[in-house]
Amino acid sequence: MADQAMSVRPKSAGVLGIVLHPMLLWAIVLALLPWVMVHVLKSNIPLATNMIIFAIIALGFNFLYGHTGELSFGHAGFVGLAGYAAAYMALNHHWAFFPCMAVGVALAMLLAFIAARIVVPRSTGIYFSMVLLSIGQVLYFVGERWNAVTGGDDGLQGVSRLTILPSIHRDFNNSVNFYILSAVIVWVLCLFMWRVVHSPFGAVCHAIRENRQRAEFLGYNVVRYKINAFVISALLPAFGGVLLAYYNGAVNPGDLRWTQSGDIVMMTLLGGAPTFWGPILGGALFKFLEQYLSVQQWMASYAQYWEGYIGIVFVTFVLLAPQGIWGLAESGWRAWRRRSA
Amino acid sequence: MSVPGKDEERPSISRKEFIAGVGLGAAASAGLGAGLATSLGYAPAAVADNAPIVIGDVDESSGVYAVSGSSQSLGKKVAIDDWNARGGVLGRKIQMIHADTAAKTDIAIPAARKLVEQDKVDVLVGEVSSNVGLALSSYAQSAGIVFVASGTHDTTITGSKANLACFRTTAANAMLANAVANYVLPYGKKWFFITPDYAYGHSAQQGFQNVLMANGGTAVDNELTPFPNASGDFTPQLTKAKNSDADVLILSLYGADLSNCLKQLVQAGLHKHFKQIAGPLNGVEVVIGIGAENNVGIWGAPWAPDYPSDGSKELGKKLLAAGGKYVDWRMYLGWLAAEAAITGILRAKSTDASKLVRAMEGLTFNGLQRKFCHIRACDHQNELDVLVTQAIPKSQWKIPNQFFKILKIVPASETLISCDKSDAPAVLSRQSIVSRESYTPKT
Amino acid sequence: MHVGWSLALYYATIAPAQIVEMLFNGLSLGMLYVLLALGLNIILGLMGVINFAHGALFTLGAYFTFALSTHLGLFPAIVAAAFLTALLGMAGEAAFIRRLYGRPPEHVLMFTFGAFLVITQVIRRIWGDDPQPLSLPPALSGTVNLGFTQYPSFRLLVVVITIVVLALVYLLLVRTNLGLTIRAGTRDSEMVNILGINMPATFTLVFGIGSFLGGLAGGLEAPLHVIDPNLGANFVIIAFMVVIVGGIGSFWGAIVGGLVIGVLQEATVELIPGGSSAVDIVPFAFMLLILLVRPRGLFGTAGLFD
Repeated sequence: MADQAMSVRPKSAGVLGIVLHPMLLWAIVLALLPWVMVHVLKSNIPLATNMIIFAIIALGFNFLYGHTGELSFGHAGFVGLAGYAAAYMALNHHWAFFPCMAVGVALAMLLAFIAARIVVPRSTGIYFSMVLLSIGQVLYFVGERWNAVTGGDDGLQGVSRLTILPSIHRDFNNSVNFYILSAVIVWVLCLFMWRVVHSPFGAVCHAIRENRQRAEFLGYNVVRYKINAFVISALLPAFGGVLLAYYNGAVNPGDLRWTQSGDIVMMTLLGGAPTFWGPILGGALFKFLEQYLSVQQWMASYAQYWEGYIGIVFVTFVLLAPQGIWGLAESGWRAWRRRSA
Repeated sequence: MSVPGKDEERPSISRKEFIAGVGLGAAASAGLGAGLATSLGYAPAAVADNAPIVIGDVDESSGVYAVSGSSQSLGKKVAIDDWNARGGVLGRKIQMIHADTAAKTDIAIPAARKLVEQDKVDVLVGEVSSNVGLALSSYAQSAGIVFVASGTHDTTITGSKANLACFRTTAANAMLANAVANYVLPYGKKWFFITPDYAYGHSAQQGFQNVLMANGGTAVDNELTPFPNASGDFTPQLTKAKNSDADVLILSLYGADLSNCLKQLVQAGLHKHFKQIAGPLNGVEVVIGIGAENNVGIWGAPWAPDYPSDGSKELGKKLLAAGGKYVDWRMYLGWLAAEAAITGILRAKSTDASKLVRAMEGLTFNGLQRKFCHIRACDHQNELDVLVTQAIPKSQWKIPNQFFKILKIVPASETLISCDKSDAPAVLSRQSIVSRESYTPKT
Repeated sequence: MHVGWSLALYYATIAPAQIVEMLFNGLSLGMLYVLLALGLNIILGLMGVINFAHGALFTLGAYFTFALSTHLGLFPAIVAAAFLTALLGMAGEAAFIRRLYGRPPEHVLMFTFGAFLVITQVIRRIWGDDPQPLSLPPALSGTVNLGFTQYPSFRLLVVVITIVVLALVYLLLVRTNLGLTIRAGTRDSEMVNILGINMPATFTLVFGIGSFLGGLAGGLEAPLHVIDPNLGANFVIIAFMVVIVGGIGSFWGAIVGGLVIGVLQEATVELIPGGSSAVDIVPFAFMLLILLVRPRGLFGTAGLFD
């Protein structure tokens, strides 16, 4: 099959192919989401914004885990670091939104760049996970203690949305406006990720995930690929972190704890780590359930244990369906197609 | 695995087609999105005559402050039940909707947004954690809703980080430190501090130190402890304290830290070593886990169940009847904040934020104290009389789970920083109340 | 150069008794880490299972001790609590973790993380959020004069008990058939299985032993701390650091790692001005440092006990 693809010029997808392109469908989903949240799910738009932000955090993280095969328990560090940098610039130097975003992302990417080169060649598997956990924890404690810069345990508050695109005179404190801004950024980032995953680079990463030794024998420099995958996997979390800083109006050292990284792992697995869209579904669903489970009046006194319910759902998936919801859907879809073929 | 398989099945798209598709997609979704946004029916609905006043109960019901948060929620519930029994306010019943803040900003803010945008609450009341309180204060200011902080003690909430939309009914840290420090001076003038390394700890310690220095004492040492404290082990700091020549030990800790530290210091016999042990805050919720035999020292409190007023005794009874396992000042704080918010709404004759803010500035309301409570307009801080209390052994309890007895009631005028020395007025004067979106005030 | 000399002078002026005290405090804190880490390490070394739920087992040990102490007295309660925790651990292993052995190792990691969340919430449900009072019997509260310091008696007892338990575990590993199986299985469990030893049963038993140690640590610490549902969460992470620093699967690694980290933390508090606030970073920074220099940990050599 692969030989055929290489020797024959690939046939054009045509108009239908473009219209049904997943990225376009995703754009439509993003456009419809606020309406669905308010009128169908009886929820609210700020939650939708929260959902899509974590969707891309999980998506970026999954490039390292689901696509390259290394589990990092410290990715909340990139989210938090970018958020802190952006908040710091916004509060202390009164920079506008996009410049702060640039600073936040740049700082997180710098950390990813350095960490990748030091950690990846020296550890893999469980050790790798624990090293990343430690990096996250060190960042967390630095955030807790460096009172002068990070505000210590209190964190930084008062990040104002008024600095977002002042020239177009839209109030971004309005949830719909902020959602649209976030959705556009999210969509562009997903597009980037899509291109990366479906590129030759992405294909090699998949090969490394499947069988590292064979990839090495084929002549690929596995360490170099892993380093690059690591760095790429930090990009979307960094953007997510900046968006979160503006969404919450505040950053907090708790955003950097290992349990936050654990949450990212959970959402990714729930959604479906071996797939592209799984983490997006997982991130959105996780955040939705987090609020939904904790405010159910009919559950009143049991709602306070919402963390436990999420835990139960999670372990069930780990035991029975580690390919996640999207993975289940995909294998179900494929089984159905096989049967009807 | 799925992704490589997908590559094989789908025919490829040329770059031109891709760009065209992207452009088309972006345009289509932008149009769809904008259209939907305007159709989302965000116009404020008319308010029914008998629609209840809704209070947003933002407090912890999970996480490290779960106990404190639930206590505060209980207090609010008792206050609301009382008002409803008297007919509600503005001719409307009062309801409360709870949202768990879990002491985490990234859970608290979405929860608050839900309350404001989805449930359309009229006012936000609550919170235990100071850093979440600060974030909520900022959010309330940007969203145009009033937030009454019930249990956050960080001084900056009505200081340098004050917001026009935020009011605080409990004492500021500085007030508690001031009251206790002055009381403890006669025991000795060489103080050793154990301070958790975060804003609450530092502001409390600073408050104590200011009083000490102003009275010619010496600060022997200030040992910082990490916050949050993973190991719960205070032996190194306690050992250092014991080896110094200090006669008074000041613990600016709270929560599990304070419980652990007290337990460890009593086990090491240090309560007999020092002339006195003191700190800004303690409480039944802190010591119920270590028992009266491990509770020592002199502590500040916003309130205590043995407060000499009929209203306080009544409140104690109602709290137990409402399901409280013991009576603690945390519950009073919830009650106090709800009482202030509802009285404010009564005075403003509306839930409109700017009217409510004006009504709450200078508000006089029932705080179950010897005189009425009064919220200062200059910094939105309640002029609460704070208590100096002492840990007492079980044999001296006059009510179940008392743990402490009141030594002195210190009027706010003695502990509260004066308006002209506060950072808040300058900050507040630069702010204005934003008009809240798609919300119809109730009158 | 100058910094070095002034530091040395600074330390030389501190009374030797204080240094001894600091070392002693560090070692006793380290003992707790060792006990926790050993339980983790035994399971990790033999079965490759990273048990995030170990922290929850620690908390359970504390709560069981509290629940049983009024009926049995403190020490029998601690032992009983440890056995109960062990039973729970074995049940969990047989019912759930066993199904995950063929899977990529991160599945077990994620499962135990979820289990940790669930167990914590169950604890909250059963005992509530309020801290539970567990007092020491009067005979054990108070201090003992050790010459260089007055040391809380119960803490001293905990140190002694820990040393005894470590010795017992060592003997188990070195002198018994089970221990031999464990050590061999740590190197190559497939081979051991082929040789006819029932590995699944051994795995369950080992999980039980690890859980026993975790529950025991919780029970021993319970009287010294406030007992609330969040008790174990922070300890477990330090225990992981100890395991990694010491080397996965290494008995002596867990001991040396735990003690070193304990002493380092105490030293940070005592010797570095303003060090108290840096205490938390120590285990993680140290671990990162060690891994850069010796990626397998101090004593780890591809999972070898001893």
